[in-house]
Amino acid sequence: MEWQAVWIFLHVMLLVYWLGADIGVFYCSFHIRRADYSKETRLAVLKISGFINQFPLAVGIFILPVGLQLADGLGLSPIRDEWLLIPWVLAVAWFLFNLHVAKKRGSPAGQRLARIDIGIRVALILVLVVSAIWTFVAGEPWGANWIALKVLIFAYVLTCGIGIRVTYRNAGAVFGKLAALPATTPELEAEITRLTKAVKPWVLTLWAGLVVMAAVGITQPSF
Amino acid sequence: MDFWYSLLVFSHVLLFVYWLGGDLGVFYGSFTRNNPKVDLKTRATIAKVCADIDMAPRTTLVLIAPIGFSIAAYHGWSPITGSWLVLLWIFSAAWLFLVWWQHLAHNSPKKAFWTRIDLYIRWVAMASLVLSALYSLFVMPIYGQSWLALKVLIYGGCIACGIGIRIAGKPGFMMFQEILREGSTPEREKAMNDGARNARRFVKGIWVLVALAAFIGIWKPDFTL
Repeated sequence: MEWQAVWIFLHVMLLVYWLGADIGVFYCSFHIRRADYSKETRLAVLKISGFINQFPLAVGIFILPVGLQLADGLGLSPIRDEWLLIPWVLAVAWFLFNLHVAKKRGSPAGQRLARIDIGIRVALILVLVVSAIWTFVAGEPWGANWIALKVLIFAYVLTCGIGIRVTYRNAGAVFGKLAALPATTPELEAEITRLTKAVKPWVLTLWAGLVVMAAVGITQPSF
Repeated sequence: MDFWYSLLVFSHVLLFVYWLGGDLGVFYGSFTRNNPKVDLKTRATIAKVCADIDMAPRTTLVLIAPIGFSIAAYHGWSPITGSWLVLLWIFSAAWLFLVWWQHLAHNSPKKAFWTRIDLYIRWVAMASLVLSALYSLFVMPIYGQSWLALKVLIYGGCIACGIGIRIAGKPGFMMFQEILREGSTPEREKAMNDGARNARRFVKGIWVLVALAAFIGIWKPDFTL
């Protein structure tokens, strides 16, 4: 059995638990903003949505080292052989850091850690964009333009992820208020509707990015 | 790569993505739905949310057949080609319509009849897939590749697990309806959760089989039996 098949399989499985799982989160959001539901019902839907959402969050981190493994198998990655250990170690560290951020969510320390996480994402986006554009211009570091295109789209997907985080930054406080208040208020409902609506363009365009990435990976266009 | 072929492969991957990925929410939500500590109205809503999300895997199960067989036909590996392939697409579209109709027609008096028809379709589809795959693996290679016959066998297994969910989960489903109508009692909750537990075994079976089918499709192992 070729290892490349295992990496492709893992790559597709990560897409499953990103794009596929996200449909549950997305659908739940319509029910979360239903003011005609009881508080208990909305919080129960929110809990389900929160559970499913952990998968896309984790996948967004690990898809990069898996993608690098795949690119290495095709001889198209600048990071090769034992050097691949570095992105794996960084991904695991970033994942553990994200778990810590989630644990501290809602506290001042959590907000500080969330800002650091966004800083990491911005730095990664810059590295990805520069490396992709440099490949289009100079033919390196990525071994093919279609891989560089995937890298560029991945940077775009990460940007959408930041958009979601920034738009939804008050979600914890808003839903915390829903849980704490004896009954909902028109102001709170307006805020929940505003939040869930504002985040949708980011989610939908993130999905579009993932779908295009998958299409590029399957067709591997030469240009 | 040919545009239509690329589109088929891309659709095949996306169907896999929404089959397995969509199931995650349904699976987790079912624990809240079946939790006696949660109020009944909430459980009824969660049941509806789960049923709606479940339409993603239900849709993909139907569509993956015509798309998969079209990809196989493109390579010359499928016995279903030409007009037969067109018929498969028409049949799958009709089956998909039936699946969605059952979901949307909640209180239709004809629902029980069409649900039975849907179950018969699944039995026939499962038998056809399993028998043709076994025939291809052990008698004559009607599917051009052994790994493809194995995938067809696994797909038949997925449909069998779906039948298993319907049969094993039915007492639990009926009991859930009774709980919503007449209230929760420890006996009803136990009966419902027993049914749900039995159904979950088949759900996990589908997950393993779908992932295995994907892996075989990627790996394409060359073997003879």
